[in-house]
Amino acid sequence: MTSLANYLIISAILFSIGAAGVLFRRNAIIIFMCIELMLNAVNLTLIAFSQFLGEQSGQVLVFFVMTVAAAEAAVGLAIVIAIYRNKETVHIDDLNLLKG
Amino acid sequence: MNYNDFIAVLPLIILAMTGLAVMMWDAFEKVPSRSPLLLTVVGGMGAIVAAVANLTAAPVIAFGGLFFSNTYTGFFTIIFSAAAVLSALLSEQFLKEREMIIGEYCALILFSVCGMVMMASGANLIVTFLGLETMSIAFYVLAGIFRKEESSNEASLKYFLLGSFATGFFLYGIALVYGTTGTMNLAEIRTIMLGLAPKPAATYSSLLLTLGMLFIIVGLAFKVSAFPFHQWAPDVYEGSPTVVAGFMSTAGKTAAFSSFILLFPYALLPTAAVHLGSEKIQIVLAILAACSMLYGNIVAVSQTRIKRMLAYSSIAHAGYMLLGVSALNENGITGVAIYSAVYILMQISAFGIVSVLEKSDGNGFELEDYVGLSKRRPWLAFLLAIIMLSLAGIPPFAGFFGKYYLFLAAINAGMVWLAIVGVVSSIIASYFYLRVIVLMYFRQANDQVEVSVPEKINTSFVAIAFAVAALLVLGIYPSLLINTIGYLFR
Amino acid sequence: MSNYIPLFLMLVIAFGFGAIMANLSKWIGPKKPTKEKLSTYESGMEPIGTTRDRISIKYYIVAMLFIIFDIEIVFLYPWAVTFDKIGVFALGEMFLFLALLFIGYIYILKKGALQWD
Repeated sequence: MTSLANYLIISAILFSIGAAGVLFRRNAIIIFMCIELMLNAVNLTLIAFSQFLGEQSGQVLVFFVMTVAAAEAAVGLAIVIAIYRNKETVHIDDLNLLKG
Repeated sequence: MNYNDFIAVLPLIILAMTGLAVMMWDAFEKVPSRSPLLLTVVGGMGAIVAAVANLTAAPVIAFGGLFFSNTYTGFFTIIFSAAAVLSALLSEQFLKEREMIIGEYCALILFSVCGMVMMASGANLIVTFLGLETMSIAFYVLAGIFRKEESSNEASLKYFLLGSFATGFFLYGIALVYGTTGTMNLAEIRTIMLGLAPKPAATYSSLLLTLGMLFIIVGLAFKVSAFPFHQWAPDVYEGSPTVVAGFMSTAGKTAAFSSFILLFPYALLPTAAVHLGSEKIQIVLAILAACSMLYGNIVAVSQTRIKRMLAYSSIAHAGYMLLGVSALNENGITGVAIYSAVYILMQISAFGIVSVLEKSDGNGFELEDYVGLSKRRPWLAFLLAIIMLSLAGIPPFAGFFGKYYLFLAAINAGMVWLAIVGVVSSIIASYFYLRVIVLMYFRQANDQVEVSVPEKINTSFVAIAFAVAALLVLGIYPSLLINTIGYLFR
Repeated sequence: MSNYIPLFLMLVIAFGFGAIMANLSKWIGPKKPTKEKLSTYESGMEPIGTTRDRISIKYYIVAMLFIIFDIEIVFLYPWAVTFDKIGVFALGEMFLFLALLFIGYIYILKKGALQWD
């Protein structure tokens, strides 16, 4: 039987990979994918806790997180498309109007 | 399930339905009209009336432990709805000058207020999370609502990427708190933290619980732009449309504080908590508060553009409210509630005046543009002067009483050093607030012909005048607000 | 741990078999390249344009909207599974949920987001 700690460690690793990606990558779409990875790592944590506690609300939250992630994906892509139409790039180093 | 539950969340239902109605109106409307604005104002007022009715009703926890309905939630519902009405009124002229349709804008404002109300009344971590996301997603779109403008695009993308990054941390914190306490219900978490109910033996870990709380603090501190998580705030506020920045930096911030209070002083860190790390977390909150106050005010001194100055000072205001949260006592909660109401009035009308004065070609942001304003726009200059005095916390104005309660709370909690940091940073702040008044009244613009422009009485002017009048009334009779808040957590 | 040894062996054999089979023809087959053979397809049409063409931006808008409406199944499925236990009230709630989604659908229809041209 896999213990709770295994699930928590694997989701912590996934979360860290996502967080590191957000901090070090420079393409808006890839940063966005890393954020999705973070959310899904948390989903794994929630499912594991829910299973070991024998309690359902963790799984309910997972459903909502999936929905929220989809909504964020739609809004994020819409923003990226708007930027691309104006500037022909999605590289965040090229977006430098607001520095100070 | 009974129908009283629906009464308890009636303000939320009204706001959501109005939002949908405005959206539909916008979709079917052939010629742009003022109707969406009118509908928004009516909906916001309806939500305020419903919330006032709930203020006097007995406190309940509706839908089997999902929503609080008590004076606390009623109070915050009222101020969020009022903020929505104010910023809808302020933006009519602004959007018309820039040829934007007001329908989508109003619908997004209403949806974000739904999220805020959910945050202030969430009795369950799921509701808190959904409220935070409803608000944030609406904000991401609002920040980029000027699709054709590059600065608006950039602000939107920056806010979106950093905001969802912070959401990830907030959610991880929720997951860890859920796992170690075994419940998402805030009232049950409170009993567990007080030691009145057993912890789940299989999954409890003191380390993970502390880590969870820290992650939640990171997520919320980002949303309120407290010190180490503030980098997005000046850029986003400067890049997004001024009226939107005014709404995000006030209602958005205070909404995050309303759930900060529910999560920390209420659920996770109640007085006499038995959890081992509570003092350490209190210290973390206090340090965040102190750094935000000092950093925001010191950096604001050197700003030359008024929107950036207001953005940095909003970091400092977040610090003041965080000070109230970190006190973890009743005074702190009262202080945060008072300061939220006052701060919304002050900051929305400050951004409102900036939006009236700014030109649609992007000029009018520099502090230099305010030189001699008292000659050109005497009424606006007068209103802005009152707002600046109130923001600085000069006694007869409402800002002073908010700060007074917050600093009192810190002293009661035994954190005199924090109150001293607060007072020192307020003194620094008064420098740049008063500088605006000096520029407007005591400096002559040498190359300009001073012509007094008669003030047009439009919705923006009415909204600003109303907000300033409210500030004056609350400053002279603070007991109005304090008595209302006296019911909180009765 | 010893339970896993057969599994591990099977994995090694499976990967090895796959790798060998995929490359066997490359190693032992005769190679006599001609111009015709090196073109993209030995039979059929000459390829036109680059394969790295951009997909029309309209596709992304439809894809975005699809994600939003697709995710509703996440709520419908648990509801359907427990439908016999939660009764008429939940039926009403689900109709409300679908009505809200439908309002969103009308909105995007009226805004012209689904018009391809």
